[in-house]
Amino acid sequence: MTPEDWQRVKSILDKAALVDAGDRDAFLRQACGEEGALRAEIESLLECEHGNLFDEAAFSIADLEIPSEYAQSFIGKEIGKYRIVSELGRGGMGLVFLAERADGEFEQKVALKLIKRGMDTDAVLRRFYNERRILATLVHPNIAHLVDGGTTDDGVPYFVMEYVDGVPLLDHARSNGLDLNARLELFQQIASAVTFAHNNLIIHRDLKPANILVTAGGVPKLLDFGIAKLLTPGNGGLITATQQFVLTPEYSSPEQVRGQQLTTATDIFSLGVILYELLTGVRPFDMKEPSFAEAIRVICETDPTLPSRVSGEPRLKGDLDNILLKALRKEPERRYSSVEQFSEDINRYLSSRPVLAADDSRSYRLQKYVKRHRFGVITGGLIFTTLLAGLGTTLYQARIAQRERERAQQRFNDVRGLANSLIFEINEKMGESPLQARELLVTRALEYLDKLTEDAAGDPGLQIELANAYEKIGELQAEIFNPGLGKVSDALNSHQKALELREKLLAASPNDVARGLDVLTSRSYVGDILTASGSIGPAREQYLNAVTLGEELLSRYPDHEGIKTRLSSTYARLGQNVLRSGSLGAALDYYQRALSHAKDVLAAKPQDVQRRRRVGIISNYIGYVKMQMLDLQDAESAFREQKQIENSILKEDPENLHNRSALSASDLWLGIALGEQGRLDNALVYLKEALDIQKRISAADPANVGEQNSLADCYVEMGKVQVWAGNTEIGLQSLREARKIYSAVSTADPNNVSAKGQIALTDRHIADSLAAKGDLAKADKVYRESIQEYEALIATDNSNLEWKDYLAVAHLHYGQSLQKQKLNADAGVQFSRAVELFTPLAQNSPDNRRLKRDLDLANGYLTSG
Amino acid sequence: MSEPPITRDLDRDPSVQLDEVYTQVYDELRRLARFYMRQERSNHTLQPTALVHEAYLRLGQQEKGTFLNRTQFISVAAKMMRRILVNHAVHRNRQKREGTYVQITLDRAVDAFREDSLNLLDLERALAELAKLDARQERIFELRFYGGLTIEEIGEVLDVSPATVKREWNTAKLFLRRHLALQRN
Repeated sequence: MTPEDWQRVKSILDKAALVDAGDRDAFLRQACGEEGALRAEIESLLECEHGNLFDEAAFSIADLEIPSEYAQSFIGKEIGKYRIVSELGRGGMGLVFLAERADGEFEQKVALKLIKRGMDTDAVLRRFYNERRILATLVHPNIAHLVDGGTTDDGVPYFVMEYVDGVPLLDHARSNGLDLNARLELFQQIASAVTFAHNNLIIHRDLKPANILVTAGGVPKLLDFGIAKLLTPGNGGLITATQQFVLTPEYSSPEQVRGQQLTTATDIFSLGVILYELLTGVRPFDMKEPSFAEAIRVICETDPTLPSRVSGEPRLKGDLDNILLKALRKEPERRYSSVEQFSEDINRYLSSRPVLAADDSRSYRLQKYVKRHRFGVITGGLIFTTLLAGLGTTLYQARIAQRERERAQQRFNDVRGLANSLIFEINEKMGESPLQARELLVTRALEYLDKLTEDAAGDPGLQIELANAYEKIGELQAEIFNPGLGKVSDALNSHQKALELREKLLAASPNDVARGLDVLTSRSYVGDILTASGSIGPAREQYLNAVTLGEELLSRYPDHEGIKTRLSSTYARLGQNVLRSGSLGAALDYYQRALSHAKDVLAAKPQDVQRRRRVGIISNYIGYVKMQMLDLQDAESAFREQKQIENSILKEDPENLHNRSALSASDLWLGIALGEQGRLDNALVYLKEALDIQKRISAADPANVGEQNSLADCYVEMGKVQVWAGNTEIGLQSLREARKIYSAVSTADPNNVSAKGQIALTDRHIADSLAAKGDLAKADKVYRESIQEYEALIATDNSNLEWKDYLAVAHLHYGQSLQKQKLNADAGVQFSRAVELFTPLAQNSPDNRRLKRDLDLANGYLTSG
Repeated sequence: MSEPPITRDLDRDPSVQLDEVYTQVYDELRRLARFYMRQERSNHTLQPTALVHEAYLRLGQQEKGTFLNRTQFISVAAKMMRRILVNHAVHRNRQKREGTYVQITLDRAVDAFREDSLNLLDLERALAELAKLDARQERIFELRFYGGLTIEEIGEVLDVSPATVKREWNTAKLFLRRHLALQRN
């Protein structure tokens, strides 16, 4: 074999390694073609794939360790102008010694920092020189400054710093019994040091009480710029945390633990943590275990308790609470814009002037709500990372037989590989294309899970974890990929994998109620995805299977809340499902079962917001069905029940936007039901309330399509009722506003079918209003537009019964308008078209009295005309 | 199979050139190895990890000398340990004939090195074949197997991506395993 031959063999082997055993034959046939010798060569090499020869190194000279005698060996030695006196401490990479001038010029104590033998990799050397360079530029009374630097005789670099003879910040405050103002003043000095560093384009990145020593004279000094970073103007003042492996999680910012871009705001956050601890004695973020997953969870997802509540110190209440919470916000741009501003706010407090932080805490809560929703996908991603990291750790820590340990180690390494990929590969992509990054995330995770599934047989614990992970991915896929984009099958696939695993688990222990509940949940998810992709029949089958299983479980565990909750939501889905094929009676029946389970669960915990809201939502569904049945008073009382619940929830937490949004929805429906009954003044009261709330929500988040659609919905209903009440011009204005919003949504997002349907509906209402005004020619034109819009929609999806229904209504109303103009022949065409459309719909949905009413109306015109 | 190419004593082969750094590390390692060998009367035992650690510390504390960082040191040490082990194996073959016995203990891969599964000299022959086809693969193998460096660290030493190192390491393993299997049969 020549080297060239070997290169070729290698490249085929590389590819073969990625091909499943089952597909190898086909691959080799294609790769080697007619070259029999080549194929024989490759095959004989591939036969050696198995076995573990060379997988372990012969011995591991790589984990060299430095004994403590090494540090000891320096004592008494001279380095440069200094004699080493004692060891002060050792960090990850360096040793720090107390040293004194050896030349006797004058008495001076210094701290001398030296890189440990064995830690002198290029990366460590870079960091070391970086710190030396940074210290050289920082001359400030509250920063331990650089004195000297050099290289030892055998080439080890070192530097010499001011020696701070002091105690750590918190110890100093405690042992001197500093009062609130003294603590704040101490903090102000620290803030001035950080401000000075920031003005020199340096961020510290590792601020913590242990890095701040206070001298006997009460002067705090900032130490250890070991991972500090110079912000150079060239990179826009932004750096990322990805290169950073050394972290003190308790004092890290959310962007730091996520590996995102770091700015001076990260130091502001850490200062916030330090001040919080200095004033209350406890840390705002409490980690139960020192893991990456836990750090992400706690720092990125939990809100710190109000400092005044933690410490019981009444003086913290109000301004200081607000100041601290502003410094500790999750979003860097929502914190103080500089340490100076932070510090200035503390000055304002100290001199009893109003603080900045108070003004915007209210608007902050609103924006926070909005942000949370917009970044749902990213949060999903993080939960998911956490989950996988957790999975790895669980496995690693699990008590497993010695023989299993190796395999567990391998898995742990796989997780680490995935984590690396997340941090580097995916983080990079996130900047250029978030969608691609998320796709990559999901792909990597699936590769990993599929690999694990292969050897999960006989390990129920692992199978449970895997099913949970598949479920999470399925959710992520469904969330990331718009159902219109054809990725639904991927989400379905993941949920089905979860279902398959869970069914096996249940079959193995049929009496395990948790496993039963898991199967129930999976079926429900599979049903949801099928629904999203338009497979209504198969979805119904999943839901029916799920409720059968649920009822069976419930008969054995009649008090199990989890089963009842799940059953309730599955019945609600069944209701939605049958409603889509027009079965009002069946839908009502399912909704009532859903309601009864929901009320049962609520009775056990009557104050629980989620449980109350569930009852409200199901009532809303029932109200909708009752509307279609023209049982308008029943509908009204169902909507009133929902509104009452939402009112009481909002009263408990009036600033919560989600609560406001839910109340707006219940107002809207109550308004609709009252309007249909002709109680127009009453209707207008609720519709106005709904519109006002929705205006605020939509203004806070103009980019949120869903909220924009909801706003337009309010305008439509408002417009309709105004026209009925005789306020035609006001009504028309409202309808036109709605149309403008729907059009904007539809232009921005051409896949948004719901907005298109609403445009057609709004046009029909506009035409109705014009007709009511007597402007029949204009009305006709708009009816025709509405009809064309519906026809275009139906051409894309022939199964949507609602569109057909509304198209028929448009024909009916158009016919009425034509008839008023004595255009009887043309009107007849419209009426017969309406009858044609209504007839099958009414047959399909015998309980729908509204449909029947409209059909009779059209028939009446047709026979009389 | 023809005369094995590796029964020569690498120490005495003038074609094998060492630069100053290598010489320094090698001398230290060889000196220590001899020292250990003398300590034991019969059944000589060589513990490479202990050996390398000691050499590392000694070199680190020398008054004068070239300053090597950890990765550099390990990559030199890996090459050196391979040489020492192979030379011991050659030596052992001679001594066997003379009736004395030297045992090499390899901390991590004791099983793999049992007489019947891996013969160090067979491995050298296989490596020589591999080096003819791809010298970099031989180096990767040396760093990984005799040095215990991770894929990433090897990438750093050779200035190539970890993915490349991984691929080359995998195919090198296939090549060597097959070569050894053929030699056994």
